[in-house]
Formats: sequence, structure tokens, C-alpha cells
Amino acid sequence: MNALSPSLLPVMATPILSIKNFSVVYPSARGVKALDNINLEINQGELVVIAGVSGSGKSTLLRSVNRLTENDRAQMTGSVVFDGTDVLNASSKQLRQIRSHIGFIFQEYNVVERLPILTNVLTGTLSKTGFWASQFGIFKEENKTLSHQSLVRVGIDQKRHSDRASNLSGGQKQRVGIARALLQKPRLILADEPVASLDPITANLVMNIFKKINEEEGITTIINLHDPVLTFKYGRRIIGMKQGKLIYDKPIEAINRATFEEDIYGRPDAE
Amino acid sequence: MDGRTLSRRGLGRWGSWTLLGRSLFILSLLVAYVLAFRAVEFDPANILQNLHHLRNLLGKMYPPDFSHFDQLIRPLIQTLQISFLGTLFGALLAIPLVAFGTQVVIRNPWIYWPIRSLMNLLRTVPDLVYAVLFVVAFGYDHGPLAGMVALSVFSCSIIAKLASESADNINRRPIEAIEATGASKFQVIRYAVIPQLLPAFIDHTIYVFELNVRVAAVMGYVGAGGIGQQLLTQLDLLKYDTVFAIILTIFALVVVIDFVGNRIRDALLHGLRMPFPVQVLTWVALGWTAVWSLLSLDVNPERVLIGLGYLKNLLWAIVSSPAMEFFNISISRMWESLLIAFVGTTLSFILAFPLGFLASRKYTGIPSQVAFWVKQIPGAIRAFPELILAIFFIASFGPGPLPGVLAIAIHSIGMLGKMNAEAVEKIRKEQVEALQATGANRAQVFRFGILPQVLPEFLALAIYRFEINVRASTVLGIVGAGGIGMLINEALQLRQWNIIGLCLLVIIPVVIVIDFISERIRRKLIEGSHSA
Repeated sequence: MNALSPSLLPVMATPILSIKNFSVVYPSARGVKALDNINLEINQGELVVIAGVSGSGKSTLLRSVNRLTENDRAQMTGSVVFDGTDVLNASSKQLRQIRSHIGFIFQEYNVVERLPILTNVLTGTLSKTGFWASQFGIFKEENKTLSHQSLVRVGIDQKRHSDRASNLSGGQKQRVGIARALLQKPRLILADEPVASLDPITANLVMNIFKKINEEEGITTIINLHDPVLTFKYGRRIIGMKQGKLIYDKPIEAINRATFEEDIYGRPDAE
Repeated sequence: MDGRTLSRRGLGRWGSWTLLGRSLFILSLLVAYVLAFRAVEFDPANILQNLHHLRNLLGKMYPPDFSHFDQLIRPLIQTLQISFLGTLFGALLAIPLVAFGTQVVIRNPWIYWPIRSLMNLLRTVPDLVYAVLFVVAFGYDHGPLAGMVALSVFSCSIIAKLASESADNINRRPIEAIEATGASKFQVIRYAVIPQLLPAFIDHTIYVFELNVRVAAVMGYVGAGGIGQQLLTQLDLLKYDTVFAIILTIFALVVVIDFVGNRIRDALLHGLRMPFPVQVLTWVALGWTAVWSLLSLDVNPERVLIGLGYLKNLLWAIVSSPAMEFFNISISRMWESLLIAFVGTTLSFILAFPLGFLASRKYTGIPSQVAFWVKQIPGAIRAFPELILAIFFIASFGPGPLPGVLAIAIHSIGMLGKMNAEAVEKIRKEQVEALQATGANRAQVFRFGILPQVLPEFLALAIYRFEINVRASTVLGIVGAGGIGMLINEALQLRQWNIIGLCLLVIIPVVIVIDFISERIRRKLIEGSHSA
């Protein structure tokens, strides 16, 4: 287990995300741990890529941070602390508060197809919109302006903003997903296989958006990727996962390119 | 098409039966059918003998007498108003049931199960039984109002059922995304559920409106207003030419409503987005129609509350002291209703079988004009309400179960013919071609390449239709077409409400059991055919 070496980045006062002795079991998996005793600290401003084959647990890890795993009735033990708040023991109100600070990006974009693009982005502000205002679809002007700006920033033309989201291509839907996350003014961005359904060119475009956001605004970003090329190209710190365990954690500077793929994904002829 | 995978599931088990087993099964099925046909007085010789009555009747009906058409206009409008308001209130009542009756957002089984159970319970009561109950509770002077409330409850039960099934199947990913932003449950419903569910909800609502026009057209028969009352009067006067005129008018109304409804539903399915002014106009028109209908039906909330109060007392009285002395009769009449539905559905399955193929040009090679006209047959048949067909057959063959069987057999062709044709359209060409490539003849290709692909679906549709027909056969007796409805009718005449209570206590559990078994069988059939 000598692959587990501490992060070489300058250590901040407190990490923004700290995961300790964390395990997850799905009821359908007959006791097999989806995550097995994970210990991980993510510092403010990092751009982390979690690499691993599908089924390695990287998706469960991200979805645990804002407890989306509850939708799959996962049982979680250990501790997850985001920005000083205990996530696993948060009340439903506290959980909504936590979620509002975390922008989540999905592999299948998860936009509401029948709503206009702009409204999809505005749903990022729902946690700060009152009950009646949101029921009647009334949003603050400043948020509308911000939505337009974020959409333009991720590359969606102003004249398309009132179109239905169903008219967009996959890459465009993902940009809407990113804009939605940006409207939350997140302290942390979690992206679960954000480019797995996109072609290589669009994938790079989308990855560049994450990179820019991280560099310009310093938003801590964790991205799940299964593609080694993209992992190596965009990750500033790379974490490897296999069968629910954390097997690799190094800053980009310390990575041996020759053995990198084998270290994380294993030898193709192994097993 | 591995025989093994088939045999493990559902109907494919047939293939592993011994010859003796198969013969015994077929034999017992035949015996059951013979007994059932006898029990419902379905005797071809007798039918042929009485055919001249039918011809006589048709002679008396033709030509239709439209001379009193002006007297039909008001009841016709009233029928539409009752259907419209019934659908509107039904849809409004269904919204909370749908929102809390699906596990998509509210994952608490303590909320979910009671609501689902209520929805299923509401759905077991046949449309006309609702009408009877509300007419009794509201009084015959308030027939149209009672009809409207009855239709509201009926519509609510169907819309809630259909829409919550749609809700179970909506895409959960956007819901998760909105949850991930920290939004509350109501915000998730507003931004991720409603936008996805709205087209289906409107689709179901328009579909239920189409159903309601049919129901409202005949509901007058039990005193619930609309054109059905005129029909009853003219029938009592034996003025068959005027009756025919009324039937044709109802037919035309239903056809027009179906046509318009289908157009709108198609447009919705294809993601039509109405320009803003059109949206506003639509809402204004709907609102205006609602207000106008409310005013002209003289709906007043006080009257509705009084009626509902009566209904509560009535329900309590009939449920707490049902006429148990009629228990044996009600059971045997219910059994007759089941047989009527069973024989009627079987006949309609046989009749609709060729229609499914003839309406699809794909594998029969018939000219497209013929296919087009064959395709129209089910729609035209569907436009005649069962009750009207039953009345027609009663006038020819006299009261009893036979008119009920015929009415159900013919009316069901409407749905089965249409859905069978859709199943035929879905036939996979590859499997057919593979058989053709082996040098099989047309009959062999049909038997081994086409039939296995459609038969499970045909059967599943027929069984589903049987569920619907059980409800229909329980009420057809109200006009004299056999089954437990006859008992309801007698109870109505004698004002013995506790007999109606007994009938409810018999009908509801039987319908629940039938629905349950039918759903299991259908699922097996469809699963089996998919794995094949």
C-alpha cells in the first residue's frame, strides 16, 4: 500500500472536505461494500480527478458527499465533513443547506428537458428562492442576469436561452448543467463522469470549462473520469479507486507516467 | 427464440407439457366454454331464429326521425357540460393524489400506500354505479348535478391511476439534479416532476374527457341528466326512429370529440409548444366554458355539500346494514356478470384477431385503401357506448344475459382491433425473414414467425379488456342485460338502497381480485414475450 502517499500541496488550515473511515453498502449488493474504509482530505482550491474503472466506487464516493446515495438506499458509516458540517448526521434542512453549497454535475446532464434553458439554470438558485416565488416561477432579476452570463460563459448563445432544453445536444446540455451548478455559487463542484457520454472534442471543451472555473474562481473541484488520457491532462491531483478502495493518491508532479495506468487500472491480463 | 427461455417463463411452459396434458387442458377449456356459453344463453340457433326481430327493429329505426332535433340540442349541450365539468373537477381532485401517490418524490410508504389503495378502491366502482349512488343522494330533481359529481369522482379515479403510473416512469435524473441544488420537496415537484408529467397528465385528462362524453351520453338512463334521458323517454314511447336519431347524434358527438381529442393528444406527444397568445386564449376559453357550464347546470356548492352529506349517510346505511337476505342472489348474479364479461371478451378476441392483421398493411399485402378503411372500423365501433348496444340487443332478443354478451363482444372490438393492429405494426421483420429464408410457406411463416410475436400481446390486451368488461357487465343489467346490474335496477325501482349496498360489497372485492389476477397474468405474458 505504498501508493498511498500524502498530498504534496501546501496544507491549508482545515480541508474543505474530509472523509474518515467511510464505508457504503447497498442493500441489493448482499453485504459487498461499494466503498471500503475511505480516508480522504480535499483542500480548498484543489482540482482533483478520481480515476478508476466503472464499478470502482468513484460515483458512490461523490454521491455520498451530498447524500444522493440515499436515493439508492445506501447505508453509510464513518464520517463525511464538508466545510465544518457533519454531512451524515445533518437534518434534512441542514442537508439542503449543504447541497446548496455543492454544485453537482451528472454524466447524463439531468436537465429538465421540457423547461427552458434559462429556467434550468435558475433552478440552481431554488434553495435561496422563497416557497411561493418558486411555485409561481418568479426569480430575482439579478439571478436571471447571472444565469444569462453563466450560460454565455459556458458557451450557450443568448438567443437560445428561452429554447427548451430538449433542443440541445449532449455537450450543450452538460454546459447547462455546469451553468446550473455555477448559479449555486458553490464552494465545491462534484462532477460525476461529466464527459463520459460526449465525443472527444466536446469532452475537452467541457473539461476546459472546469479547468477555467477552478483556476479563475478557485472553486474546489472533484471530477470522476474513467478515461486515462483526460485524467492525466486535467487532474492536478489524481486519486485512484478500485473495488471500493482508495489505491492511489498523488499530485500530478509526483506521478510516474510510465506506470500510471497500470497503478490505477491494473494490468489488462491480470486476474 | 430459444425454446428454453420461453419455457421458463409465462405461457411458454406450454411447450413442456405432455400431449395428454395439453389435450386435457384444451378439453377442459372447451367444456368450460360450452358451460359458459350456455349460462349466458348464447345459442347460435336461437340467435338465428330471432334474427328477424333484429331486422324488424332495424326497419322501425330506419329512416331516423330528426324532426325533433331542436329538442335534442339542449340535452346534447348539457351532456357536454357534464362531461367537461366532471373531467375538470376530476383532474383537479387527481392532482394531490398523483403528487403523493408516487414514490418518485415522497418516498414514505405510510403516505404512498394509503393513497394508492384509495385510488384503486375508487377505480373498482363502475361509472354507472357512481351515477346511481349520486342520483339517489342528490335526488332526481338534481340529476345533471349528480351526474357531474359522479363523473368527477369517476374521472378522478382514472386520471389519478393513469397519471401516477406515468409519474412512476418519469426520468428520475432531473429530480436528482434539482435535489442536489438543495431545493425543497415542493420545489422538486414544481421544477422536475410537473414539467415532465404535464404532457402525460393533459393527455390522460383529454382521454378521460372522451370517455366521459360516452358515459354522460347514457347516464341519463339512471336519471343523471344529459341526452340519455331523452333516449329513455323515446324508448318507452317505442319511437325507434327517434331513438335512432338520438343514437346517431351521440355517435356523431363522440366521433367529433374523439377526433379533436386525438389531434390535440398527438400534438402534445410530439412536443408541441403553443405560442403564448394561444396559451392565454386556451386558458380563457377553458375558464369561460367552466363558468358557463357551472351557471347553466345550476351548480351550487351548498347543494353539493347537502348531497354529499346525504351520500355519506346513504353509504353508511347501506354498508352498515346491507340486505344480506339477498346475498345468494347477488353472488349468482355477479357470477353471471363475470360470465357475460368472459364470453363477451372471448368473442371479441376472436373477432378482433383478423382485424389486427387487416388494418396493418405490413404482412398481409392487402391494398392500402382497404387497410385504411379496416383501420376505421374499430374507431367507429368504439363510438357506440356499450349501453346503447345493449339497449338495441334487448329490443331484439329480450332482456337477459345474451344482449349483454353481444354488446360487450361488439364494443370491445373497438379497443382490441386498434391495439392489436398496433401490436402487428411492431412485428420484427428479421424473425419473419429468417423463416422465409428457410423456405417455409406462408402459413408456416405465420405460425412460427408472426404468431409468436403477437399472440402474447393479443392475449394480454384481451385480458386487460376483460378487466374493463367486468365493470361494464356489472352495470349493463341496469338496462336489462343480465348480471348483477339487474339487481341494482330492481333495488332502484323498489328504493331498497341496502340492496345496492350489498351489490357494492359484492362488486368491489370481485373487481379487486380480478384486477389483481389479470395484472399478474398480463405481466407474465409480456415478460415472457420479451425474453423470447
